[in-house]
Amino acid sequence: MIQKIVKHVIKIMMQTTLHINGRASDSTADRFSPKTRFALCPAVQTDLIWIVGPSPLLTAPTSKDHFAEARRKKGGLEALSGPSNKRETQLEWITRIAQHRDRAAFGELFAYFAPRVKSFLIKQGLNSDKAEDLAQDVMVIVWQKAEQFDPDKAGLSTWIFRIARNKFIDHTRKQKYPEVNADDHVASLVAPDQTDRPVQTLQDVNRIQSALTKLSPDQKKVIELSFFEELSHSQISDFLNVPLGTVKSRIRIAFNVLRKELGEI
Amino acid sequence: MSNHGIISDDWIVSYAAGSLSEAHALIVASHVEFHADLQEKVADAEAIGGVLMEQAEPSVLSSKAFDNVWEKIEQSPVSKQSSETHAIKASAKQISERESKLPPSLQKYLGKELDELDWRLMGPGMKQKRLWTGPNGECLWLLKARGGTKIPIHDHRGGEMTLVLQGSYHVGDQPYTPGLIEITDTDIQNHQPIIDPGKECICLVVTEAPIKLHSFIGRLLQPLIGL
Repeated sequence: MIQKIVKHVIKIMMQTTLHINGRASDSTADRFSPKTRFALCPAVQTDLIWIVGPSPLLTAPTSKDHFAEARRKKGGLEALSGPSNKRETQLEWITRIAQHRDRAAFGELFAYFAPRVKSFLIKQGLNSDKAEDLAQDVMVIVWQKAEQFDPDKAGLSTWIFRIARNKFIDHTRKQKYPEVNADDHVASLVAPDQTDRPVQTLQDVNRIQSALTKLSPDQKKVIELSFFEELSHSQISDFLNVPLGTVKSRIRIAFNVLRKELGEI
Repeated sequence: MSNHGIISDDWIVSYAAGSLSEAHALIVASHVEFHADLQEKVADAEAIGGVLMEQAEPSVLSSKAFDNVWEKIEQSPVSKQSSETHAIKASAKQISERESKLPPSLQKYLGKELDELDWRLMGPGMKQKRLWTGPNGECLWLLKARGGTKIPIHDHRGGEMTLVLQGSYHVGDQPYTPGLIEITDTDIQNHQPIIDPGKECICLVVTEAPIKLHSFIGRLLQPLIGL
């Protein structure tokens, strides 16, 4: 078994992309299996290495969940880590956690997101130990608040990003970050024409990924600096040595490019 | 780009990225909650953040990471609560938030209604309630002014943001009504908002540096006002 896993890891490390054909043997699995080919980014390698490490919950799922069974039938790691950047898979995890307190699903979510949350926190300037500590806290919150996740309002990565962002601010600045309530707005106080439209979020991870490729290098830089280094605009202006007004307008243009891309369904 | 009384997208991106101070984040969040299209923009910006996080090269976790998380979950008091009481609590909270006329994020921040705050006299027709002070003289506060009040002429040494919660005011011929935000840059001089007659006006304000009153009396009173 171990040999098989190691072989598999090596196989994936040698490829940059992996194509999986979604031919599943039973209909339940079919609903969540990738119907189209998709690319597995090289980044997933680290996940695989992590998964190989000891975790009783991953190797011995206790749940009788159909999806988990289907996935085991399909053959372990490939199915486990493969489609994790698929929205359907991510929704399945969080739904199973919210509805059934499914530890196996949490194990899968953890394997995919915890290493990424840690990277995000390191990019914000935390050292590895502290980042790991906070990433663990973020995962605790994910488990505890799973019921509050609403797939109609946001993608799972958006929701986890928010938790990680708020946790980071809470930790580094000892400040609570006020969260925008996306569910309702102050309708009673605003003229009707401004409130007709329901909140619609066009968040498809793959679409955002492809939209990001449409940005010019300058635009991408300011967006990344905003999100990753958590720099204020004047800090970005100092860092890039361009005027503050230029930074602001670059951010506005980049954001509009992204939103325009996202709006084109 | 510059819609009257609506913040520009670079603020939205900064909010989503987490780079705003507590004061600015609260005023932006409250403003956003007045406008469905801004809520949508914030959601999109946060989704971009989520994707950037997802695209990051994953770090290696310690072999105990998962077990540690599990231990934290089992030790935490939240997990001992049944999810039912959780749901009841959540719905009770939602109801109280809906009944409030305040933006939900501000309501949550205050933990009470506006008339339950201990307002302090600030000047003729004006009261203030200070909410938060930042490390660089940044201040988050609420202003309550009687209809018809002329806010004393003042200069700004730092930027100022004012979100109207109820009532309205004018600066010159520019009207500011509930949900609209006025942003004044550093070094603006002779700034004189006039509260529209009739109704009390309540605003959430962030000042980056103490404002500078013009009148002699104003300057005498300045230390007492504390803004």
